[in-house]
Amino acid sequence: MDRRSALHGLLLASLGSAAPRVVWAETQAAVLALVVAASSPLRDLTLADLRRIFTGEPFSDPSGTQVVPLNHPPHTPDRVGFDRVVLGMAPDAVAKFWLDRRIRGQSGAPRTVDSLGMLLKVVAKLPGAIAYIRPQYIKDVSALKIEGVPPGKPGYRILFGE
Amino acid sequence: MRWPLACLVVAASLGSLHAVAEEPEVGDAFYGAATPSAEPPPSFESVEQAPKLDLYGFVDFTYSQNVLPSGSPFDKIPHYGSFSVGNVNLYASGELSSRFRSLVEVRLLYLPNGSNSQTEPGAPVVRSDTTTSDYTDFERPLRWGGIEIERAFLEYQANEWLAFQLGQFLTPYGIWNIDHGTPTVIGIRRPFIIGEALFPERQTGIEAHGSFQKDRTSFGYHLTLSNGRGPVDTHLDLDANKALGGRVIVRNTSAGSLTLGASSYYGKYTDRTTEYGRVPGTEPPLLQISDPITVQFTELALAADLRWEWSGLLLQSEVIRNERVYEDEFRDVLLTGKTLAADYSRLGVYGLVGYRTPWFGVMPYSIYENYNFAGDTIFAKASALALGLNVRPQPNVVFKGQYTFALLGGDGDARVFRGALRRFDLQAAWAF
Repeated sequence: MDRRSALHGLLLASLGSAAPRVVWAETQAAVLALVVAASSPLRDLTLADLRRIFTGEPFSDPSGTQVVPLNHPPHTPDRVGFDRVVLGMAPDAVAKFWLDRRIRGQSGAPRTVDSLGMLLKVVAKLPGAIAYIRPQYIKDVSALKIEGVPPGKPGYRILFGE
Repeated sequence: MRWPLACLVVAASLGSLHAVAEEPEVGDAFYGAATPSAEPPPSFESVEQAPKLDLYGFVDFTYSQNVLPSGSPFDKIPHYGSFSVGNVNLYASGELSSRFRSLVEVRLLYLPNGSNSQTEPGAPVVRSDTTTSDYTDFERPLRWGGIEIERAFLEYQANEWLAFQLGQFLTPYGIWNIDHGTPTVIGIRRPFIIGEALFPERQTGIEAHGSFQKDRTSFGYHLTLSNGRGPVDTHLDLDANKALGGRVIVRNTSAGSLTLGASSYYGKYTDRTTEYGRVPGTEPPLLQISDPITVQFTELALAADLRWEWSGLLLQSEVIRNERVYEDEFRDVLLTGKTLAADYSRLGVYGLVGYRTPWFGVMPYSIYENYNFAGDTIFAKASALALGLNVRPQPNVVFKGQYTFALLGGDGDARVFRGALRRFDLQAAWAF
């Protein structure tokens, strides 16, 4: 949702329309769904697991397949929001974190994928791949529950204000 | 596995190739409909054969000035402020698959040119001169430098509990030796106990490591099996005893990030010489080659460390003890040339406190350290206090300024290296 759409939603909401209120709510809290291949045995993750996966620590799914995290490009809204919510870090802190890890000789940051289309393809095909996208774009992949809660339901924690 | 790997590489390298069916709703190019590429995407086979090497590194540049009181015993140390490029470290990292990883780190050196060496105790100190003639430039003089291999290993990640590194690795102990690079460490100079290598800085052998998490607490371990410390430990073990080491780590993130670690190392150092002779009673003579031991000792190093990061606050401390026990017949000969080394234990500690302010990444810090030099006959017991600023305006650039006051020995100390040492350092360190 860009700023113009948000303002549009706010304007409509102030005029009393029911539907735009939903748009405004989405603007305030963007939900990110964690997605894996439909065939993946992963169904649920804790926030701590997610933090571990996206900070370069090894993590295997129940079948023993190494989980491979995929990121959005740096400074994109969802990447910034995801890093803040899951890793608890602002963009500069994230950059410092990965740089320090590389100097220590540890593994580097997850690979980034530049487009939704490619991300969905990779997640669907690559065993162990995991990524985050807005729920409305889920196609041919499975969304995970986080702490037992499916995306968008009350108590779901991977959401951030835009 | 070829297809999924290639798929991942394509994803990482090609960017937006596929348009999204839905209208973009999010102010994010990631979700936007991509412009169809004029060029066809490369095949997965061609991408798989493409280089997957990641080259990066760090450099530091330092200005150092010793501030020596008159009559200081350290007046042999250069008095003049000097600029220097200290570390030029290059990393080559390769992800061979989702489970295999390769890492090579080398440091490019101006050395050995300019280094001082002494062929035997009491002999004059000679400065190395690597000047040679450059055949590409009318034989004009050129000074060559060297390369130090910092580490080179293959890592296999079996699962989160277990990974192996095969090759040469930095010894997993404490904090400073792991942080390793000047953009990452806070201070300019390594504390005594790190620089004096109470643990070997690196080892050649096998390292196993792993970790697991329980709620907000993670547990980790490292186990090492190596040639141990020795004169040529990078490729030759001069005794039958392999060195063993280990480290355990507990990290809790309930209030910031608190990490506690304990490390150990046990190994035998052996040096030998080579002698040629004749097998007694052989005619015609048969060559006999022997390699008698010249120096041998066992050492046990133990260390504990603590690091607590909370908001901008950083507390960090390490304490290390190293105990060396010689075989009576094979003791070191000390610099005097007349004295044999005694068994000894060395003990040191440092503590660092700093606070990263929200303004331009400025962190004032202070480091206190204490080191006993093991009752060394030359160096007196040392303590030092450093005050500094670490400024990190962006993640890959760090500027540091540090003033250090060190005091070796005290009243009544008779060792020749005693007195006060003051030093001022400015440093720029950057990663690329």
